Amino acid sequence: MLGCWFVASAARAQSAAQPSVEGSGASSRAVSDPELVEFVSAEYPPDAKAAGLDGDVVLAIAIDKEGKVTSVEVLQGAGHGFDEAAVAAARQFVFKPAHRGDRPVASKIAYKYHFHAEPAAPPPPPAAPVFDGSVRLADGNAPIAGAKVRVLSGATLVLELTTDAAGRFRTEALAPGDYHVEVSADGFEPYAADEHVAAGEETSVNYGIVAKNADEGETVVVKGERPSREVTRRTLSRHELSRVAGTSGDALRAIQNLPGVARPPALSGQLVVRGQADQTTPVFVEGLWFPTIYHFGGLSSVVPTEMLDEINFYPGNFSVKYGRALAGVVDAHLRETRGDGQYHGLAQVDLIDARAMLEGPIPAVKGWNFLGGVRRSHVDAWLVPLLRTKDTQISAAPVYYDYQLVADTHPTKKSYLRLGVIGYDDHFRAVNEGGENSGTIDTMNASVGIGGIYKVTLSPDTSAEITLSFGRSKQRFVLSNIRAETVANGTLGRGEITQRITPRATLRTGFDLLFAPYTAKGSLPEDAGAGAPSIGSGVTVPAQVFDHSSSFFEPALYTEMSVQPNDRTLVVSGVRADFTDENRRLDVAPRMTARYDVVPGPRKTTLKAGSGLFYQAPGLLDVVLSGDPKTLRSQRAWQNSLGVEQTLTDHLTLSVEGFFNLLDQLIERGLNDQGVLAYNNLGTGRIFGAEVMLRYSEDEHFFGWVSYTLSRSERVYQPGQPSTLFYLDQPQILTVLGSYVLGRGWELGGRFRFVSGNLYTPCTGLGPGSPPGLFSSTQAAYLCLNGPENSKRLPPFHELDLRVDKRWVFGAFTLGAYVDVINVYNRVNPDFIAYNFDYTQSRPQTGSLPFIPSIGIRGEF
Amino acid sequence: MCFTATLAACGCEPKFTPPSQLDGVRVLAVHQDPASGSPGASVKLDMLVTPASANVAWIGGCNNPPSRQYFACEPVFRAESPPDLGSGTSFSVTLPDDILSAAPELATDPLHYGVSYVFFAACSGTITPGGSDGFPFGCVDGAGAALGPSDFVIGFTTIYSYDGAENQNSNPMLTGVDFDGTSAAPASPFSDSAGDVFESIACDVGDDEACDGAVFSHHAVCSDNGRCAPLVSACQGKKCPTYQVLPHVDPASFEMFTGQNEILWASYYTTLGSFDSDTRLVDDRVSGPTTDIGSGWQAPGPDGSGTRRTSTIWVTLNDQRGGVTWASFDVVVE
Repeated sequence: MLGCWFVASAARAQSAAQPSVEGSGASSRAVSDPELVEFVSAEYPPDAKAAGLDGDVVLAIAIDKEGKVTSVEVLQGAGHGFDEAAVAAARQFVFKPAHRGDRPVASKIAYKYHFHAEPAAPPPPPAAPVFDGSVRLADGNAPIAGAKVRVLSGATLVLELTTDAAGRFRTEALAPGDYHVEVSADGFEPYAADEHVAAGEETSVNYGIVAKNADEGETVVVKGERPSREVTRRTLSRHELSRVAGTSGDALRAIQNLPGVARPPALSGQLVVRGQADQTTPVFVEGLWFPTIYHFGGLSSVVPTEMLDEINFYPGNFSVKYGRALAGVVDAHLRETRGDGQYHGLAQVDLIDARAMLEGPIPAVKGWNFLGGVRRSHVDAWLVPLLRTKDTQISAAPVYYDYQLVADTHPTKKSYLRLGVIGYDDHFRAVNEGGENSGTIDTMNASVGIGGIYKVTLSPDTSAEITLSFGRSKQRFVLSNIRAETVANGTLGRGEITQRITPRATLRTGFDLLFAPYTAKGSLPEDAGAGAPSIGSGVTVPAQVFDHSSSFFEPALYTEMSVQPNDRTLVVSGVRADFTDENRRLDVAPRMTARYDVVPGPRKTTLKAGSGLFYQAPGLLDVVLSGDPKTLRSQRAWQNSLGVEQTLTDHLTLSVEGFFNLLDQLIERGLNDQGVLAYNNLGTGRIFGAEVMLRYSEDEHFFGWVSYTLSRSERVYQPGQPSTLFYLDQPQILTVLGSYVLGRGWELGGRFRFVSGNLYTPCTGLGPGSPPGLFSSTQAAYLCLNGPENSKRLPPFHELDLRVDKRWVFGAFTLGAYVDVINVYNRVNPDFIAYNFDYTQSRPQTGSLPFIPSIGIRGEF
Repeated sequence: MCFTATLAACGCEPKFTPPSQLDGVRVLAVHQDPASGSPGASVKLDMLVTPASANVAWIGGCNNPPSRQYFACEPVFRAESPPDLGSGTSFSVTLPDDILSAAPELATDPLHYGVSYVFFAACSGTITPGGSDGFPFGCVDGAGAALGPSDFVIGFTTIYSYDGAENQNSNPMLTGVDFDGTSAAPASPFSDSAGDVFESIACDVGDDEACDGAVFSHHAVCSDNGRCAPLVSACQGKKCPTYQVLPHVDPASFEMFTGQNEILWASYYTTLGSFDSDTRLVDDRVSGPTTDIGSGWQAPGPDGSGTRRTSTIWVTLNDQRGGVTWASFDVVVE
């Protein structure tokens, strides 16, 4: 017997003499529902019929593995003889049994038997016309296989169809008339439409549905390793993201558990994807570029998980829709409102911050709903005493806050409009007494943006989407003599038209515009270039100063064709042209990906491959410090990948992918013809590796995955220099995580990570007999006499995190609490090498968190 | 980022030997006179090295090397006739007439400047020509064996020549140093803005009576270095008083550089005992002069010999352009 209850969806039948039956609610995603294949009408109680009474009887029906009814209990009676009649009829029902995977299992369902005395609706007219169409993902147009298409006449279910592998359905069994069509698929929002089917005509429709979690009302989708649209997709529900141990339920940090993503340097907040540095994988939230995705370098994401609808993560070989990125792209979206006419709220507090959210219909504005949230950290209350020492005076406590507000509506049945405001602000100020780096520490990072998305289905074969956002961001960083302040006003616009040319060919064409006036001023330490001997950290070295006002103007056009020459093959090829006004250069990037189902069907085996060029224009610092940005070209990567996906069971999938990326035109610093250090495009590199992911997708008890990445990332900073490992190279990254529902509101999760140790450059001195440090009297400090660049590696990182959740349900109100225990066995993971003042003493030092139980409590309605 | 770095630095790792604790050969500062160079000027360099008996060698003549960085000076060392060599704690170098005109002018420079590097070595043994990997000096003991980092320091000083009279640097200056609230009567080799040079009260070793007239925060005795010094008790377990060492900074030291406060900081060194802060910020780039610039000194514990021991304390005052001054005094521990 299954250990769960669910309310089955069932056919509705109405008749003066026959009762109607109906069901509602969420279906389990673990087990396929039992399907009623033989309905038996209950005899309408004569007295009730004479009195014109209606009645609803809720039954508990136990069904064995053969689909036979083994017991019927009345959960909620209606009296007047309805109960007995309903039980008698239900005992004669015949079901197609529930299935767990391929295996039939016993089940128990709640069933509402509705007795209604009104005349029955007329039976469907004789079939004649053709009704066909497809169900696709609204965002991206990917076909949805296995979706249920229910066609109703009035309240009567006429027929139910299931989409094929291409997301298509077709029937000739409908009579001409008006129908109500309901589309549903596991993990997606239900969709409904009214259609008119005319005699002698073919009615073709194209339904776009959006991802949604049926378990908790919403879904956060992480599409990992998705080389191109509709090629590969991995989906993590918000429930999964909120339960990953060691992340405190932070959705963006969940990306770090996917293949190809390295462990960032401790508390740095970097996103290191396939052996490339931070800022080569930009993060967009609602189309707005976020230069920083974490508060204070990793404490928490700048957008709370509860506000997110989905995160599209592309570690490489992504669509031409995206550009200005050398490694990958993270594209996160705020979620749609529930639109159920009800108000919902949430309040949560944990060790780091407190947050509140509210959503519901906007009063007096018909058809509009809103979703708003605000969050503020309270680490200042307890962290400041820990940070305050004789040598560190805190003058402004570390505080962050963020806020989001979204309003959306469906202006028509085939369009969707969402407007939003999102922002965050981080502040910290102190005075440090650290010798040559003595002085004020002052950091500020703030951004606010407003944006909108409009999606419309123009015809069954044509859809369009426009995203426009305006944002303002300010950053300030002051550390003694080091100072940088930037203010940028960014406008990002995207537009795309999707046109299905034939049933097997789709063309997408779009634009991608960035316009950002900015000012940047400050002074940064002299930079001797990567791989050069140490020159110290900068107070006494004459700095590079800049005071620059200009605009980034980077328009791009792209076009992409998806072709399915047969049911097993998908080829997506496109080209993107990016113009960069700062250096007056045009970069043209052709890209192609392909998938082929070697073995089709539910246990399919798919080969996939991709290759393409990716450009990233010079960044802000490159521009302001180069003196003449027109001398710099965009950095370039030639990305190649080849992989295979194997569906092992309904829940278990295996993915293996190799990649080989060549980098050139990397912006580095080296001597120019005049013997002066200057920025140039002479850096090169290569990155290769393989990623494996074995994943058990979520069922009612468990989710989890094993992710392993083996890679190598090399650089040659200037011609003639030896090839060295990139400082973020991590050959082995293993993540094992999972979460198990124990029942009674309890859930237990864990995560184990093993990552190769960080690289470092040893201070070896000039050779035998040489001290390891060189005293610079001007700086009153020793400089490390470097050995070979990144030639040493620290011991590996490994850590176990555990999480326990408990939920209590009080009607419409849910109270939850969790304990997220980070670093359970208190492993002291070395993150860097600490030296004494003259580099004669050294030891590995950790910047990682020790054993910390993080506690949170949350209430929602 | 800095916030998190500060957080990360709050770990409870065992501490290294602090830089304020002197043990072995150390170069604490190199004083330049004048504090910044100019075309054709002669710059006198004075090194503060401990112990004073250490041998010192110099090599100069690396002017405006490619990249303007010290590591590009290696060809100078390899030259058969390097232009400037010297020994002892003082060394003078003459800058070329084109030190400024031959220097590159970059858009990102805060001001036009030339740069000249002088390298040095300090060795408790014998300095030999030809060191490791092109460095011109080595350090060996009497048997010819190479000495390690505790006996051998290599380094360099950078002489900046700035364009414009308003950008010339001056060495910061001290007007005195207090020990436990009273003047420590320190010795200073360089004058303050009034032209004063501190002179410690001299005495003959063992002649404590010569120090009877000296006014310190504690009873005065004659140190092993022949200077009158306050007498304090050795640290006894938990009874370990902290004596505040407080330098007095000549107000003329607070200069502006490229439109902002020039950063000043004080560093503390001692041959015995310990300081609770190795360095203190004196002038902040953003907020200007600070007030809490002293550091607490604690006497060493008893060594069991029952004899007096002399701890020599140095305070150096550095500015961000390489300017420096210093003062020293003794404390006798019994």
